[in-house]
Amino acid sequence: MRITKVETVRTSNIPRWVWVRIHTDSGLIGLGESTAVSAPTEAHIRAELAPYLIGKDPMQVAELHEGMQSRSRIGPNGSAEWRAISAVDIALWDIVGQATNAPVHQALGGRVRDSIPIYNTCADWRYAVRQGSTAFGLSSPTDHETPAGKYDDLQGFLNDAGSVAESLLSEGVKAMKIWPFDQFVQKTNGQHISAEDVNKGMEPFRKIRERVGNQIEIMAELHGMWNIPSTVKIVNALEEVEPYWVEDVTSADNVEGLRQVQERTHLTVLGNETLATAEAYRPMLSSGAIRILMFDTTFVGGFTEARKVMSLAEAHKVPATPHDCNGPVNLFAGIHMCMHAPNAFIQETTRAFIHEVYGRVVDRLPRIENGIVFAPEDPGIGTALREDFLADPATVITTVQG
Amino acid sequence: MAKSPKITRIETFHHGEYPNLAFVKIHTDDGLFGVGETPGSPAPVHAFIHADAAEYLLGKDASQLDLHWSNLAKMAGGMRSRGAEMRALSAIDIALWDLFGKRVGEPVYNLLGGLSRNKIKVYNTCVGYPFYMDRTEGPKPGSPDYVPKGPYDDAYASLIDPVGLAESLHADGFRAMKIWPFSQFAAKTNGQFISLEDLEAGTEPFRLIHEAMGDQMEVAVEMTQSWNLPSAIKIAQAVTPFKPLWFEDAVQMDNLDALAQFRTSTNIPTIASEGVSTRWSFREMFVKQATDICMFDLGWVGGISEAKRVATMAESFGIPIAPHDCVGPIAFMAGVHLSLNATNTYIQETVRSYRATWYNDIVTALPKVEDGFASVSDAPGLGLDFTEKFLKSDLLTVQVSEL
Repeated sequence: MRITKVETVRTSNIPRWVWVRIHTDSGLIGLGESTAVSAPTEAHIRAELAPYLIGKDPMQVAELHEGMQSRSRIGPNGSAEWRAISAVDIALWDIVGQATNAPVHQALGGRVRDSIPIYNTCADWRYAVRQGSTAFGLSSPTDHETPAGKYDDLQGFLNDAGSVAESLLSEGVKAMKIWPFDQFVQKTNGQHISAEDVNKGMEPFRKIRERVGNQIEIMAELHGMWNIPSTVKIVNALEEVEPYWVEDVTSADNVEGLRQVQERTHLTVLGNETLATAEAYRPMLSSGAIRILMFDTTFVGGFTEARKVMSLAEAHKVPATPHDCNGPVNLFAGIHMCMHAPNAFIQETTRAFIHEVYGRVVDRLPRIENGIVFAPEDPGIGTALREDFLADPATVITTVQG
Repeated sequence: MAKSPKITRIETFHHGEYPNLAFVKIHTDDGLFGVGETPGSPAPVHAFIHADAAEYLLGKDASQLDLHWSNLAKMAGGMRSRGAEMRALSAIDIALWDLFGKRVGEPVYNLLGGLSRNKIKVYNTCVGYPFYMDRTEGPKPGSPDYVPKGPYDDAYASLIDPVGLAESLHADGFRAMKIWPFSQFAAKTNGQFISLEDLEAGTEPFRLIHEAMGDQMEVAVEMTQSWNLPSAIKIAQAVTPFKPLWFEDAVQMDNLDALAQFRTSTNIPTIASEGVSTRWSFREMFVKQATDICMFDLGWVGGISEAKRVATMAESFGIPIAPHDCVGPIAFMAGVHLSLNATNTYIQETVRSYRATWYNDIVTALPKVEDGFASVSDAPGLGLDFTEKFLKSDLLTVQVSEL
């Protein structure tokens, strides 16, 4: 089998997303995806990766992964190049799965489970459109002119967190992630948080505990935006509500800083989906800076690298969990990794994205019932871009072929 | 209160003859402009600048360099990114320093804290004319079918006639040079193993030069991050009798613990690495005592701002700097400004084959290199501009974002 054509697909409705479709002479099409700052990702796929890939055998993913790295002149840590490689690698595994009539988790070596619990990240669908680097939806809630839709979990957790928790429990979802401290970041660019703001940030957590007690787990997301004294202040306050974990307590660029925060709290520090490659995670694991590892298949280097990262975490007896809150292919990728890796324990989902965006883009969604997501059964990644999405005037497809 | 110059226009240039360079020109509302440059694949750099960075920068005060650095670094990949975003940021930062200098009428070295020396010792990196720019397939220096491209085809000479090359460099005033004869063998095993036969062949140029020239020529061993740790140690042991200047990029920069192990395996200085970006990555390298000398490329590390910060941090660890050249003329000029300013500069890299040819086609001024030392003029900013030839070339593509 040979690669004949590489397409990048973007939509002006959600500029943060980019897909890659790898066509083969067998007729199989592999689908991959990445997110974040997508113009340079797309440019790298078109200018560097596509010319290398065309004519190659898509089944030799390991060789192509190495080859793409050498075409990219980069070390570890996140970048447009790694997002581009991630998207392509996912598409290659999709082809491997389809060609061997196996879901990707099977092609990776098989499953250790056939379902896994999910938690809900409390965004609304507009959060997918534009996340500012220091905003994460909270800097100016009025700058989105389109309505939030049915699942306005973002304003929900800020104003009426108890009701969001009740709504999730009614769907069988027993864990939720919120980030109320982000609303105070811009005042000081994360350099200082006042006692008053810490207290205000605690309100949603307290409201959840008051309404539903310990029926629901709460993940506290800090987005790596605070310096160490500020984040320690926040983490100290959070101990009162026993969150499941505290995520990205400070920038992933500072492994010692992460470790210092972890040493000073009994809470579980989790990090960090922004990294690429197993090498980048190694210092964080070996120094005990995190107790749970999070990765994003569309950032880390695709399945080829995600598998290494999860195995490295396993060797350190550290559980690992895939990031979502990006695109639909990423969610499928995370689920496949959860089925395959022994040290997975929960999968992130964003119900606002699943119900209001993903279904408009891809032809199949994962089966989620009662807070549990099930192993995809179809060969490959188990989803594809919808024909009506590809035909939409807002969708831009760019092709590189031999 | 000083006037706040607003950024009004950002241009990027892609030139067909230099497919591995991205150039940027930033204009402000006081009629000034600054120029910057970064190596590597330009397509994603240009895409990031126009699709993302421009939206942030246009209308902003050009004098807030630190704030812009910090905000752009957060936009993607994080502070330790070594990808397209960090290259774009590096080019933008260099252009903002050039603008700053022009605005206040001072050369960049003065804005960094003034001259610590009037001239800096240089060494020559022995690449040929097409080494970096030529992305076509075909015979490479070292293969029997390769035809030299001119008098300074130094990569070719380093393999065919190393003593002749060293003598030619000596006559040009150089007392130090850099070659990478082992790299030709790395592809055989993807750097996983080097045979005794290849080890001996790679060592030969060092032996020949040392025996012919003694203390008149110090030769640096560039290992191009091509080897695993045991192979790198084997190479270092083989070359050590010929007193090399340093061992460069002995292992991949993904694993700084391995680099630290390499460093303790030899009493010849270890240097690293042009492939590392930002203070956060260098801090880890310094804390792990993984290098003796700090090398960075201004077009990749995060521009002049970040290079200065890394240089100062290196000083606090007792580590000198040796700025990289070998990629483009603007990053070279910026590197020499910093080399002249920093109190802890060890030596500056230069490439005579590039200075003699295509660097001049791109910019109007280069650092002066004479008797093995480099210096710059006191012209404001970086003291250079794009040449008319470059700007009027049919091979030039310009992209513009403006207010």
